[in-house]
Amino acid sequence: MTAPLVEAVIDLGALDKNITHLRRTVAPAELMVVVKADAYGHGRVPVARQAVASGIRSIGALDLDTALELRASGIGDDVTVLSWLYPPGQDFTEAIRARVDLGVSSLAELTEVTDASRRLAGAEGFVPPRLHLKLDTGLHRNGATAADWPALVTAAVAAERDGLVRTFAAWTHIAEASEDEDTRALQRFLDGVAVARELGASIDVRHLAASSAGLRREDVRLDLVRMGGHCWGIPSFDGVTPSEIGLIPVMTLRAQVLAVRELGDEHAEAFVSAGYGDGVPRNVAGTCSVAVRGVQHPITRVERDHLVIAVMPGTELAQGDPAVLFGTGAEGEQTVRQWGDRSGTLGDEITTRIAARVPRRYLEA
Amino acid sequence: MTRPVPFRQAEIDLEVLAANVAQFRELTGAPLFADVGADAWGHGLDVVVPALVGLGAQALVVARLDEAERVRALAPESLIVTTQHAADDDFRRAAQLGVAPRVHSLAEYERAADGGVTGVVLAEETGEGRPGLAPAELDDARTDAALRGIAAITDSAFPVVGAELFGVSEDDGEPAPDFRPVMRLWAPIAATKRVGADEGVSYGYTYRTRSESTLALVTLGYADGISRAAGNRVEASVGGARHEIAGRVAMDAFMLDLGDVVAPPLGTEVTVLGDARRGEPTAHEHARRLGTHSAEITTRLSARPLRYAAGTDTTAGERQ
Repeated sequence: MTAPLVEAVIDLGALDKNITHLRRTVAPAELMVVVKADAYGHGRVPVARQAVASGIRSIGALDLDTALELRASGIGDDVTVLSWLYPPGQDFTEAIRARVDLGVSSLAELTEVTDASRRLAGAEGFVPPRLHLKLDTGLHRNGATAADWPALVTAAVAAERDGLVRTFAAWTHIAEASEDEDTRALQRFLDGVAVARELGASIDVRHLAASSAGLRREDVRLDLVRMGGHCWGIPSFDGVTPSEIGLIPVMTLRAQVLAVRELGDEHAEAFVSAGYGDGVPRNVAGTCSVAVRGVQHPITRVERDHLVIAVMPGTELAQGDPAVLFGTGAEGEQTVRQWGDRSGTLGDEITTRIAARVPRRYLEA
Repeated sequence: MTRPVPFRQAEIDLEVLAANVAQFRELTGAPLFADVGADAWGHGLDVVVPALVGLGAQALVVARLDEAERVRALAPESLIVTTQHAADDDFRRAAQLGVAPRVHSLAEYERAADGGVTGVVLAEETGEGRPGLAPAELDDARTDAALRGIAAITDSAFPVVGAELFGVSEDDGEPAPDFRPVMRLWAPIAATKRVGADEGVSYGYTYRTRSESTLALVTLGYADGISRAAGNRVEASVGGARHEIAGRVAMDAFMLDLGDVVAPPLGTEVTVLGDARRGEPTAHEHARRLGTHSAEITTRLSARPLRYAAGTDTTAGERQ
């Protein structure tokens, strides 16, 4: 058994602690853990299983491929699994059979859902799918505009009366452009919920906030808060470290020193076994560092299969030395939030784009 | 593997790949030692490896043994070379897979030989970059390999071609004009909506509409490998017309402002990376606007877009 050249170590114990902390913070609102994009690179199935073990009863899946995989992996229908992004022409039959909650943004999507329900309605064990009707409150991605909202709700209510769907929830995404914009979005959303209820929709659950606003603002939590980034210990707003908001980074990216080249004048460079082919962005060269033996060595170049660091004067590195690219900071390394800040993006983008060729190793809670 | 309806799609044109291979042979006359590491520069081993085998590739090169294992399953007979090995690798797995490691030191050579490999590539010391074997060490390794019956060649006898075969390059400058892009990354328009003038679009409202407009939601985001920084910076094409991505690229989608036009039908194809000869934006264009090279653009696409082969498979006859 040899040490892996590169691996992403996922600390499910840290995930458990983060989830527990976030659940307490947003209570009485419920916490939905969003495992889209392979749980931001952390691995959707192990993360979803841990979330359920940590008491979570709502999982955000984004698409039906993910939702159905979660169901197939043993996440039972006592746990809500929500999907909301579909290609045009999606067939909802399997999703309805698997009791996946369905985000619906338009009449076209609603029609695809009710078509599938109608086909299944006679079958034994048919349960009308729970809809999460989505309102556009300014982000202008999916979600019905205020103008289209009454027609969408009315059609959903009619389908509910036919026993085909349930008008279970209303939701939206906010733009997080400013506190004022988000307050306006909240008001538009509450207005939309009132309209929907007047039109006969039940709307048992209202949800709007994600990691950032959900942690900062009590007024946006409503019945449920959806979080991804914060569950993996990546702060999603500026000016804080993970520990300052009670979170522990879950992913540690590890590699090893492949070789050292002496450059004279007591300078040396070392070659570390992770590159842009593993998802390390090329633009961390000159901005981020790799920790070896507790010391941060600046990254000077990122190749496809390896990167190059300038060995800090006064330190000696050797082939096989463990190298930590980012993690909790416990071994002197930077956090992924710092990597994001320094390379002009979010920590979320960094972990999400760690490549599939990097093996994930899970530390059990 | 197919999806009943397209969602996030990476079309790999095997005719273009074959043309690039032919071009490479014409320009160099060299054998085809093809670097298919990092999932064939993001193009997908499952599609690319059988095609390259069919095109007569003499060797397939990857970085690590995990990758070699995938390539071996797709290319049972081919010479496979790995370039990166753990400091304590005993090379038994390499030997079992029939992989020839590229070794960077005499000690690494000896471990590989002791582990039972039947071929090695000897990395030569060049005075820069990752260290290799000095001339005297090369001699020692070659002598020992001859005694043990191990086929040993040096870097200079093993010139590897990589990104260019796919029409991308690790060169930050101009793309190699002789090689065409093999991949077309596209997604359907999943939603459209009409909005008024001066409306913010996507997170942070970094884009505002200039007039009453039709917005289109395209199901590719940074989780697919479109950089978050590409918003308001790189273009996508819809039916031959170019549009800059409007606002921030989100994790799973980006938006286009199509202007004051009638909404196109849902499912209309939006091409993000393609071939300039078809009027599409290229990986090279994206790279220039993002301050990198085109090989990073395709290589850092995630596993999520579905790689599928297009173009007539011109190698089917040779594979019999």
